[in-house]
Amino acid sequence: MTEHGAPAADADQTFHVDERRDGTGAVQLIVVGEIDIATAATLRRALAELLRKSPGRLILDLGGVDFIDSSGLAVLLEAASGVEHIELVRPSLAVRRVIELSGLASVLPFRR
Amino acid sequence: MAGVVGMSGERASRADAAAPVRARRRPSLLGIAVTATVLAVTAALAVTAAVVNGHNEDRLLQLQTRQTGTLLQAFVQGLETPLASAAEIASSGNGASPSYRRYATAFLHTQNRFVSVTLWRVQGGRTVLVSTVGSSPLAIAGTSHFSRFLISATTSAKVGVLGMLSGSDPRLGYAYASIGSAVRYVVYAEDRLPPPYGTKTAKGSPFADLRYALFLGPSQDPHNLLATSEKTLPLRGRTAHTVIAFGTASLTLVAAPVGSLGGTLAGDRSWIIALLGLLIALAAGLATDRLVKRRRAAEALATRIDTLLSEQRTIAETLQRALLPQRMPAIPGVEIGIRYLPGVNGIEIGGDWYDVIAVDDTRFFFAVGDVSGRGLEAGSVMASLHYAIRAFVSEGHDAATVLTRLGRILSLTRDRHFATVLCGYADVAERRVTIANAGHLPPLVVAGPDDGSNRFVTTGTGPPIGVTCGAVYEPISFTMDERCVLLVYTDGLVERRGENLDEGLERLRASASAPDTDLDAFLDDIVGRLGADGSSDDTALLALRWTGARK
Repeated sequence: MTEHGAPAADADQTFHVDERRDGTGAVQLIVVGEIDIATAATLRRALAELLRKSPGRLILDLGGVDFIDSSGLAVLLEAASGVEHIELVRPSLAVRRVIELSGLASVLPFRR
Repeated sequence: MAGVVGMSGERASRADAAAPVRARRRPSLLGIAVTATVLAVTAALAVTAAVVNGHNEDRLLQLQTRQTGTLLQAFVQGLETPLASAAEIASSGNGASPSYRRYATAFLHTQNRFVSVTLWRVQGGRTVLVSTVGSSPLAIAGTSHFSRFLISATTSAKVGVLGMLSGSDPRLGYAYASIGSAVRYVVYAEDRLPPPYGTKTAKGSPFADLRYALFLGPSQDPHNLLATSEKTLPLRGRTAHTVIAFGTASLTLVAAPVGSLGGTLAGDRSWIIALLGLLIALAAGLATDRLVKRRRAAEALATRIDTLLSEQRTIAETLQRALLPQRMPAIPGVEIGIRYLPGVNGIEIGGDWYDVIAVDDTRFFFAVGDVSGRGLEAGSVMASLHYAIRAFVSEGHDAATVLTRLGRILSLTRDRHFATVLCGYADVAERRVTIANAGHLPPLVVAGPDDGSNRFVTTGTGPPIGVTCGAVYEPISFTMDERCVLLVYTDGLVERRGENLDEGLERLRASASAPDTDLDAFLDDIVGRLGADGSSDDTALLALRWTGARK
């Protein structure tokens, strides 16, 4: 029931994800917008796509994410459980506090 | 309560479903209006076209009748010339000279129309027949009427017309007098008249497009009818007439069109417009009708969907409430308040819950949890955790162990959900609370009425249930003053888009006001202050406070 599929997710015009290579050549996923029950499925697909290109390693830029709810956290945690290395680059205060208050700082480590 | 809501929703949906069926049978008012409007415009256009066409036909008919009259005039002049010539020959030859007779005979034969040509000498009011070529005239010689006619011919420069001579062989008689003084010669000729009705018209003649009647004289007297294309008179339909001079008399031509003078389509134009307009009106009416019905159907569908959604929401709430304990166990020395608020746009079941389990006379267990996501799946995860906790508590496990054990029955990778849970034991006699926290927001201790120092309990927050296997939780223990309230809640109370959690937590801390009444009023106040802006998420609240009755 949490899987709303593409139409619901695409209806949220403000949410989008992009890929970028950082200085070390590693692929980053840049997420912009709110990660909630409506956009979680889009993020899940984007993460699966990124894992096909660089298996075992996820770098997410969450600087543009101003809201994340439990559905969004579930997608991040699910992705984290399947890789050796996950890193959240410059998370916004909103994201950081949700992760810290949920006791997830060790599961979803930050890089500032 | 929920049942009643459900029933009324069902009735409403049935009534809505019946509406489009009625609409389908009956044409829509708008469709009828469109048809009527287009028909009215069509009628106006058709009438205008008919009127314009009528004027047009009138003008064309008058024009054609006048032109035909002009041709008749030329024909009449063709009659005058030979008569005038014959009279002059007779005058110069002093009577029926051989040259006159030759001319008259030739005239009789070449023209092939005169049946009788006679020459009369008029002198001193007397008329004498001089010569006859062809048959005898029908006009009776010697009658005063005929004599007066011959004499009158000498006083006019025009052809004298005697008129129609009826009989078995009807004729038209006319005369022309020579110019002179004492002795005047008058040539009188009679023309045979064919039967007037059903006169054949040669193709291409000016009369071909017309039905006509030609009368001698200025009136349309049937007795003076010379020729007509018709079997009966008067002419039917649109007619025009013209009067042509014919010697001392006149001819009246009455004409009517055979078809349409303006062309084949001209007469039918108004009918074509009417027919096309009718078709357009019907098409426009049908199209409008269809649009209106589709809109009605869409509206009915939207209403039905709304009804279904509200029914589904009612069902979700009903299920949720069925899983949550509605009555708290009566434990002496403690007051417990609970609230469950469905999210504002919550159609699906949420995953928030609370529970209170009495352990013995002085101790009880409490829990507040929140499963990630929404829907039936989240609801069923919530139910399984809810009942698993009850089982673990009945086995006598402490709060931290309960959480660790819960971690074994939920896996994020398998179930795609995780849960935050805050649970603990309260000892009424000791006024001590021991809690363990799996990723849940910290509980708030609301200070007494005279004390504004509300504070969050610092818990050693472990990871949520289902994220890591075999997580270990560290319980913390604290005592609480009699005037304080412990408030445990889910994130729906403080989480708002566009701000970080700390702001929401601070809003809660600052707005929770000291309760000097019962906990229900306290919870109503909290919900009123923080829930008024409408969280999209569900919210569960649990508050507890020691009461004065100590054991």
